[in-house]
Parts: sequence; C-alpha cells; structure tokens
Amino acid sequence: MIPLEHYLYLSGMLFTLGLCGVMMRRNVILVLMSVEIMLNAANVALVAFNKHLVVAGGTPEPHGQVFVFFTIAVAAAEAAVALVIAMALFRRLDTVNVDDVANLRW
Amino acid sequence: MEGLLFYVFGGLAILATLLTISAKNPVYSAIFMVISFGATAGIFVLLDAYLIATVEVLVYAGAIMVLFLFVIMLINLRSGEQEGLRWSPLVIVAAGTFLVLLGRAVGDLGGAVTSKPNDLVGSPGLLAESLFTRYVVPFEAVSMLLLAAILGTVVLSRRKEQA
Amino acid sequence: MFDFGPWHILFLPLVSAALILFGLHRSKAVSAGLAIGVVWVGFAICAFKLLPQVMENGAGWFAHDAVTWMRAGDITFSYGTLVDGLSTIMMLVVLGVGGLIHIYAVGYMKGDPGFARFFGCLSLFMFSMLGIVLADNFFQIFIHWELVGVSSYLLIGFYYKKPSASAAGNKAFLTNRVGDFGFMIGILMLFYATGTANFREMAAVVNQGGFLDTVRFQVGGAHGWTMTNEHFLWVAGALTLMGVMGKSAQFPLHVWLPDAMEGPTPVSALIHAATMVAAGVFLLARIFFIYLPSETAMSIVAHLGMFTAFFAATIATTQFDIKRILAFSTLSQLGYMVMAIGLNGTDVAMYHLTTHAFFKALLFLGAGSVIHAVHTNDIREMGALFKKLPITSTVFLIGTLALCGVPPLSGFWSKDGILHLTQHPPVWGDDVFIRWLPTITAVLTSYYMFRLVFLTFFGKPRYHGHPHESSPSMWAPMVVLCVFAIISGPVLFTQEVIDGFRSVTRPLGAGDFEHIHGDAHTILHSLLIFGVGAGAAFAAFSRRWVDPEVVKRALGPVHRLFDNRWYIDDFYAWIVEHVQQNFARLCDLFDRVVVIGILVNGSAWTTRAVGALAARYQSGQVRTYALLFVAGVAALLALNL
Repeated sequence: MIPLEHYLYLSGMLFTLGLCGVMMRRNVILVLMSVEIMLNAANVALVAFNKHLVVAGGTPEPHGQVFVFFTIAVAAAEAAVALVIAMALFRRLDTVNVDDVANLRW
Repeated sequence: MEGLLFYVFGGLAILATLLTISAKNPVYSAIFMVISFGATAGIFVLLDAYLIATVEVLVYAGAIMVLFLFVIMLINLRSGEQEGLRWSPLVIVAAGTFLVLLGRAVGDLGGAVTSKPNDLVGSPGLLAESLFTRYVVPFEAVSMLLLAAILGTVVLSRRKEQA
Repeated sequence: MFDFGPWHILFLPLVSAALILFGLHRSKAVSAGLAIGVVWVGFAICAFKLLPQVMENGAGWFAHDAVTWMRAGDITFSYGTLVDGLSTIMMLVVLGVGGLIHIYAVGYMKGDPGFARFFGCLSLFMFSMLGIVLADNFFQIFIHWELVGVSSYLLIGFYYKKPSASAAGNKAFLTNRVGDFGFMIGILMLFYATGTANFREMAAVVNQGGFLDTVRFQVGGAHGWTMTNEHFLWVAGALTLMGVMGKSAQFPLHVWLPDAMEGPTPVSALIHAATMVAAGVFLLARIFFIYLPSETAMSIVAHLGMFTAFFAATIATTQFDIKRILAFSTLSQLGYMVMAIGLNGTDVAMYHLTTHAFFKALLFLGAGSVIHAVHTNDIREMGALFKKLPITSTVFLIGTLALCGVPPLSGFWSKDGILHLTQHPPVWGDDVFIRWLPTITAVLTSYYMFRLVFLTFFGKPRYHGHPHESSPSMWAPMVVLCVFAIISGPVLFTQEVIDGFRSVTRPLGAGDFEHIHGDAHTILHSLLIFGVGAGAAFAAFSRRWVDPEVVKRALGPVHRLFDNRWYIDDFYAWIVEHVQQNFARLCDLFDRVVVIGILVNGSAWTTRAVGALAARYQSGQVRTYALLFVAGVAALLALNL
C-alpha cells in the first residue's frame, strides 16, 4: 500500500523536471515537450488525490479523473496549435531557437 | 507487489523524463517522452484509473507523439544546431528551491489524508456518468475548444501566398 | 366618434411637428395645411367642448387627468392635463391668436426656402406652450418651460445664416437659462416644503391652517434665527419669479426680447408678444397661492412689474426700429400684468393678457405688413403709408388706440382696470410709486405709439420703391384680430365670464375682478392720459411745433440713458467682458496647469517613465520569463509555508 505522499513526490519531481526543460532548452519543440510533461505531472497528482477522495454518501466520485480527462483534451489542443506555431516560426524566421525570437518586447 | 510496481514505474518515468529534456536529438527526446508517458499510464493503473490510463496511452503516446515526430521531421533540423541542456546556476537554484518547497508542501500534509483509498473510483461507467451529467457543460465546452484548435491549426498552417 | 379632449389639443401639434420635420417638409402646402389644421382642431375642441363646461360650471370647476411618468422612491412624477377656467382662457388665446398668425404666416413666409421648417417649428412651439397651459404640476411645467425656450430659440434664429439672428437666438436662450436656474431652485424648494409638485395639492397644503406658521428652519436655539414656512415660501417664490423674469422678459432679464425681433414677424407676434412671454404671467396666476400669504413677496412682484413697465416705456420713446418699439411696448405691458398680480389682481392681469394678446398681435402683424411693403424696419424711412396701405393702416391705428386705452376699445377695460387697482393702497401700505408711476407709463405709452403712427403712416413719404397692400391671407387675420381688439370689452368678457376663468388653485382672499365702470370720470381720466401722450407726439412728429432734436438736446443725459436702454446691455457686456472673461481665464489657467499639466499629462508622463524603466529589463527571452515565473511561484509557496 503506497501512501498518497509518494505519488505526490513523484508528481512534484516530474513537474520540476519539466520546469527545468522549459528553462534550460532553447529548442522550441523541446520546450513544448517539457510543457506537456508538466501537465502530465499534474495529472498524476489529480488521480492520486481522487483515489483518496472522501465522499459523504459512500459512492465514489471521479472528480479528479474528470479533471484529468479535460486536461488531456486541452493538452492535445494546445500541442496541436503550439506545434503549428513552431512550424510557422521556422518558416518565417528559419529558426527553432526561442532565444532568437525576442520580438515580444517594447 | 503494488509497491514494487510503483517504484519501477515511478523510476522509469523520472529517468525517461530526464533523458527527454537532456537528449540532444529531438527524435530521441520524443521517444523518451513516450516512455515517460507509458510509465505514467502504469502509475494510473496502480491508482485504479484504468480509463485514464488508456486515454493517456492513446492520446499522449499515440497522437501527440506522432505530431511531435511529424513536426521534427518537417522542420528537419540541421545537426549543427542540436544541443542539450544549457546549465545555468540561476536555473538550478530556482528549480532546486522549487522542488524543495514542493516537497515541504507535501510533507506538511502530514498524513492529513487518512481515509482508506477507494478501489471503485476508476470504473469507466462511473466516469462516463459523471461526464455526461454533472460535467456535461464543460464537456461540450471542451468540444468547442477542440474545434477552435482545429480551425486555428488550419489557419496557422496555411502558407503566406495562399492566404 | 372619438372623444376629443385636452390630450388631443396637447399632442396633435407635436404629431404635426414630427410629421413636418421628419418627412412632410418636402411639400410646403401639406406642411402649412397640417400645422394650421391641428391648431384650429385644437381651438374647436377647446371652444366647443371645454368652454361650455367652464361656462356652465363656473369657477372652481376642473377636469384633471394624469399618467405616472416615473417613480423614484416615494416621489412620483406625473404628466397630466389640468383643465379649469384659467387654462381654458389661456388655451383659447394661444390657439385662437396662434391660429390666425399661422394663416398670416402663409402669406408672410411665401417664397421662403424654410417655409415648411417654419411651420414645423411653429407646431413644436404650440405643443410646448400648450404643455405649460395644461400642466398640472411643477415638473411638467418646467419641462415645457424649457421646450418653449428651445422652440423660441429655433424661431428667433430662423434666418440662421444671418449672424445677428443666430446671436439673438443664443441671447434669448442664455438669458432664459439664467432665469430658469432660479426657477428650478424655487420649484425644488416648494417641492421640499410641501411634499408635492401638483398645483392643487400644493395649494391645499399651503392653505392648511397652521402650515404657514410652522417653523421650517431654526438656527441656534430659542433666541436664534428661525424661518417659518411663510418666509420659506417667499424665498421660493422670489426664485420662481426669476423664471418669470426670463420668460416674460421682466427687468433685469428683459434684454433678450428686443433682440428676439430678428425672427420672422409672425414669430414676434405669436411668441414674443401674445403667448410665450405671457407664460410668466400665466404661471404667476396659477401659483398665486405662494405669493399671497407674504406681503414681501407681493410687493416684490408688484414693484418688479411696475419698474419694468416704466423702464421699457422710456426706452420705447427713443427707438426707431418699428418692431423694437413694439417689443419694448410688450415689455411694458407685461410689466403691467405682473404688477397687477402683485396688487392682488390676478383676474385683471389675465384679462389684460387676453386683450393684449389680441391688439399686440395685431400691431405686430401690421408692422409685418408694413415691413413687407417697404423692406425696412426703420420708421425714419417710412411715412405717408396710410394711402398706400389702407387696410393695414386702419387696423394698426385701431390696435394703437386699444393699446393706449381709448374707450370703448378692449385696452380701456383691461388697462384702466389695472390703473384703477393702483389707486387703492396695497397691503404693504401706501406706496407713491405704485400710485403714480403706472399712470405716467400710460402717458408714455400713448406718446411712443403715436410717435410710431405719425412717423410711419402720416407726414411726408420717405420710403423707397412702390409699397402695396399685402395679400388677403395676411390682412384677413389682422381684420379678425382687430374685431376682437374692439369687442373684447364687457361685450365679450362680461363679469360672469371673467369670474369663470379662474384657476382652481386660486387662494382664499384673492381679490375679485370688478369691471371698471364706464362712467364719465373714468373715461375722462383715460382720455386725459391718452390726450397728453398723443398730443405730445402730434406736436413733435406731425405738426413739428416742437423740434424733437431740440427736446433731445434739452433732455441731454436723460435721453442718452433712454436711448442706450439704460445701459443694461452695456452693463451685461461689461460683466461678460471683464468679470466672466477673467474668471474664465482663471479657470483656463487652472485647467492648463493643474488638470492638464499635472493630472493628465503628469499621470501619462509617470506611466511612460515607469514603462521606460521597466522596458529596460525586458529581454524578450522566453526562458528568462519562465525563470522569473518559477521564482515568483516559489516565493508564493515560501510565503504560504
């Protein structure tokens, strides 16, 4: 029987790794992958919490899993759009390096 | 048995993720990411979330990974531009602090959750019932979001001269 | 069959105005026909439906109908029609004289490019004016008070391409705004004191026993300053009187009326002689219950009217513009009416209002006919027009005699009724000015009117071109008005009729009307006044026994005072130029330095400075942002642990 905390530690570690990926990679595709990893890490925490959800009537309620369901859908949509943006970026500026794209400032 | 599987899947997930973010070749990164997601799906099975585990494999490991591979192929990076992690002390400090604080947050739960885990929670029927009754409006909203994403993708991927 | 009533009288002109201004103005004939039609339909409803009811039931009868306009808390604003003797006689004047002037305008405005617009504006004016007459509460009367101001503005500035006309329109509007400011404060004070805006309810509250002695304000204990409702009412009444000063052009807010003669002559006749300027007198008659309890308020009203009457008459003796002379004469006559109200003579004031509407409209229409013939307003360029314009001259002369109070014309009965009133000591004690100044004014009236007549219709011709009599659509209304100016003495307005035309809000203790007796003494008195004034004019301007220039030089500064309208306009110009302009400069400086300089530009400059500072730390590097983001989240986490 694994306690809830262990799942949460796992989730936190995966999340931090994703964070490191976002901060330490310059390739836009890798940045996107890291974002997906962070989303996934959050999913782990949600499902783990759901398992220990206390409900009044005794009937289990899958709120956490419903959330994960939505997260996956949103992540899929986000990945599709973001990758297209990455492609457009490559077509226009001939680079996938996020450091080369510093136009978003005054 | 459960404990063993947890450590196997958990360790695999962390290792695969580490390799994902550090691999120089994006194709390798994509493959390691799939492994990471597969391990996470295993974790979900341990948590009795069978449907979520299936969806995880189908969507992440199937659809999204293929998407990434396609884009990598289309962009066709020249090998000279490939690089791994760019270490920077500031980033290490920030990430380390963050991890420590997260760990302390979990530690502070201090066994606040004492209830017995519920084995029935992952049944697909239960999930479906919840989705189509209580969460029907967000469910439809997500369908609209996906439609918007499709349209956005199509618009963005058109070439300039076609626009 | 429809059951026609006051609502139809009120709203048919509005419908007509809307139809003309929004669509029908393409067709001149249809526009004029519609505007004239609705006025006469209203007149028919009033004459054949409301008038018999008033006559049958006598004073005190009324018909009231109201709809709720809006509610705000406990306060209900309603919009209604109050038909009683007072509003019926006023409606008959407005609609009857108005209807005739509408017909006259068809001939006068013929060929004007703004013909249809003119009739649209006239319809709008009729609606606004009838709203004042029919109003059952103060808020409604205020709304229509302003609407009348707007339509007056539109009609004075009718020849808007002429700078002097649009300036005159602005002057009229702005002067009225000054009066309306006081009027509104007065209304609010009355509303606060009585808890209602409805005239009848307000009159009932004021007439309640003990209301007037109730203390409204007390400052500083038992020996401090206290203000009873009676004092409160006279302050409110004096402020309300400012509205009357503006609309009825009483001193010192009279300055707009002479300039308003820039408008087309039918407008001068309808609005600035017969109806709109009488609205102030009508209002005073309607709310007389506010003034009657206080001697101070009554004496303010009486002295205001008395002074305006004298003051305007002195100016009229020196003017050369035919319409301006008539305008100052109107001021003077309105002063008589206001004074009569202050002397507790609402009945005779309303009677004079009615007869004045007939003969002054007649005089204006006659003046319009003369102007139409000789194309100038200056009486020095007229002369000997009697032979050229026989009909106009005859009716003008009759109107003049009526204005001068020659028996048995209508002016004799109403004006000498007012003069008669001045011979009794008023409630605040014997008053030498009230006793003699109106009589002197009457002499001046005869003088300036016959000066006008002699210079215009007799003597040597000084005009250019070939003047000829105007068209029947112009002289026919003049003849009708002339008939009324002759017969509206005791024949048409018997004692019973005038008693019937009273407001339902008439307070207890208001003086009753009494026809002056046409005995030898009164007639001689009146003829003496007429004879002195007209004789002086005859001597100076017809026979030239006395050279006017010699008199002018002999009078010296007095003449200059009159000729420059007592320097009131110059005084206002000085105030505007020095006081107001300097204050405006001060405000401008404040605006430039504090508002624009410090607040507006200062905040913009601060924002820009902060932004410029912050922008230096913007790298555009996504990864840097992510790092900062993580640091922020970490900080939040650390704070919460």
